[in-house]
Parts: sequence; C-alpha cells; structure tokens
Amino acid sequence: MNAPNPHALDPTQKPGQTIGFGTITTFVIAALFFFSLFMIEFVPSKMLQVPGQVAEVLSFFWPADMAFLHYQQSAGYIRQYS
Amino acid sequence: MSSASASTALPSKPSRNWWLWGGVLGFLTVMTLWSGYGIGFSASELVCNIAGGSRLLEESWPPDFSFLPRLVDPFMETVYIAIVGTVVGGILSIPVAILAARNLSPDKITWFVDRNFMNILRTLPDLFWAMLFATAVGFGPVAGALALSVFTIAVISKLWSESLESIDMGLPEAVRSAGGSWLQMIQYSAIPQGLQHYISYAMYAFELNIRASLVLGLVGAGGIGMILETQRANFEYERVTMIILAVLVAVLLIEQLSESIRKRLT
Repeated sequence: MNAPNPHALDPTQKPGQTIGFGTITTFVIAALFFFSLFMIEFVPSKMLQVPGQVAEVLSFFWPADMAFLHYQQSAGYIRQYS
Repeated sequence: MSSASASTALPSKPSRNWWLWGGVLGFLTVMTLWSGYGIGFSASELVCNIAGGSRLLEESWPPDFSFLPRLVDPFMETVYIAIVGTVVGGILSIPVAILAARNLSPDKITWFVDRNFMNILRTLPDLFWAMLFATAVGFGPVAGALALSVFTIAVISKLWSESLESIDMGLPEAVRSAGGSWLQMIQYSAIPQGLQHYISYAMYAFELNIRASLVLGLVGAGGIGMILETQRANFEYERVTMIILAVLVAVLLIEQLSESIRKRLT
C-alpha cells in the first residue's frame, strides 16, 4: 500500500511532493536579494537617516513656482531652446 | 429548394463605415501635423542633418570587444541594483495594488488616497528618484536600488491593481459570506487568482530595471550607466556600442529566464 499523501488536500501539490518549484524559486530569490544587498554595500543603519534627508531635499522643491507655468506655456520658451 | 439555398448562402459582407475611418484618419493626420508644428519639426532640416547621424553610426561600429572585460564589474553592479530594486519594490507594491483595486479596497477613501499615491509615484520619472536618493544617501548603487524600488512600486502596483479589478468576485464573496475577514478574503481568494499576473509583472519589472539602470548611471546612481556616460562624454562610441550590446544580450537572457520561470510557476 502506498503511504498517505501529506498534501492530499492541496491541489497545487503533486502527490508526494514536499518542496515545489515555487518554494525553491522563492529561496533562490531571497538568497540573491541578500547577496545583492551585501554587494552594493547596503548599511541598514544608514537607512534610518533616509526619510529625513529625502524630506530635506524635497523641501527645495516646495513651494512650486507658479509664475513659471505661464513662462513654460508661452511659445517663446520652445523657440528659445530649439 | 429555394429556401434551402437561401439558408446556406453566405451572409452579405457588412459595409465599412468609410466616413468613420476617414474621420479617424483625418483627425490623426491633423493631430500629427499640429504636434509637428508645435515642436518645430522640419523635414528638410532632418534630411540635411542625416549625414551627421550616419557619421555617428559609422563611428559607433564595430563595437570595441576589448572593452568587454572592463564591463563585467559595473554590469554585475547593475544586476545587483535591479535585484534589490525589484524585490523591495515588488513586495511593497502588493498592498498598494490591493488597496488600489476598486473591488477589493475596504472603502472609497482608502481607494482614492492609494490611487493618487500611485499617480504621484508614476508622474515622477525614475531619473528624479535617482537624483533625490543620490542627494540623500550619496552617489552609488544604494541610491540606484532605492530609486528602482520606487519605480517598481509604480509599475507593478498600476498593472496588478488593474488585473485584480478583473478577477472573479465569486470567490471573495464566498469567503466573506462564510465569515472570513477582509484580510482572509485577500489571502484566500484575491491573491491566488492574481498571482499569475503578479509573477509576470514582477519579471517584467526586473527587465525594466536592468534597462532603467542604464539611465540611472547618468546621475551617479551606480551600475553600467556610469561607464556609459563616461565613454559617451569621451566620444568613445565604439565602446558605447559594446555597452549597449552587452545590455541587449542581458535583457534577452533575462527574458528567456523569466519566460521559463513563468511557465514552471503558473
């Protein structure tokens, strides 16, 4: 007699299959991800400063220069640089 | 006899609406001419300057194969940036896409806020994100990976949210009517139905990220793009061709790989 299939209720698994291609691919992607993080010299502690620094850089972009909108729309702008 | 022959006769070919076709063609022609005028397009100028373009192509050929060994390290850096960007962006795009799907979002306010968040992400180009993160964390591959993460969220969340809107709503309704929570509905009915599309979009985003990293190098975000910009600035066009060929081969290989993974997973 065959042994009972542990995945009998899971239609995505073949009978007797314990580790599927999806699981292996997930592990490979995770390994590649951590290896890539190491190779690009990712420092987790440095990431804590990122939100503050991004906010500081974004503050240079605000407020928007509304007067520039009219200047950009004028035909002279295109002609000037063409 | 006559009735039998009448029933077996081919139906008459539907007549084409020539007015409609003519109108569409005319509209497209007018729009093209108007846009061409707007950008100052001149066919004569194009013909006169075509010699310059062909000279550039001549200088770009043949590719400098001796430059290939020097491309290995920056190219691998590009791959690392693309992997980190795709994985981080791919994971973060899951909740963004689910909340942006009209049929799955818990309420209209969440849907509206999330949709506009996605619009903002898509409006800003990847080059802007690269400049922003390069200023924030310094020049290098980490800035590139962060920029590509945001770019990946923008790409996958838009595509996947539209896919999720077209899933069969019978299963989610069954989970809800059986007493399942919103999270259980997403986990057991929405994600399994949309998983195939998600894998396709993630693979597509990885391909895009390899190509995008060429551009990101221009603003100092690491990878092969920095080498490309240096060679272009030095007028080493044969080396530029070599870089483009290397990226082309890589993209073709990734496409084949993603195709085979998709087939096995779905």
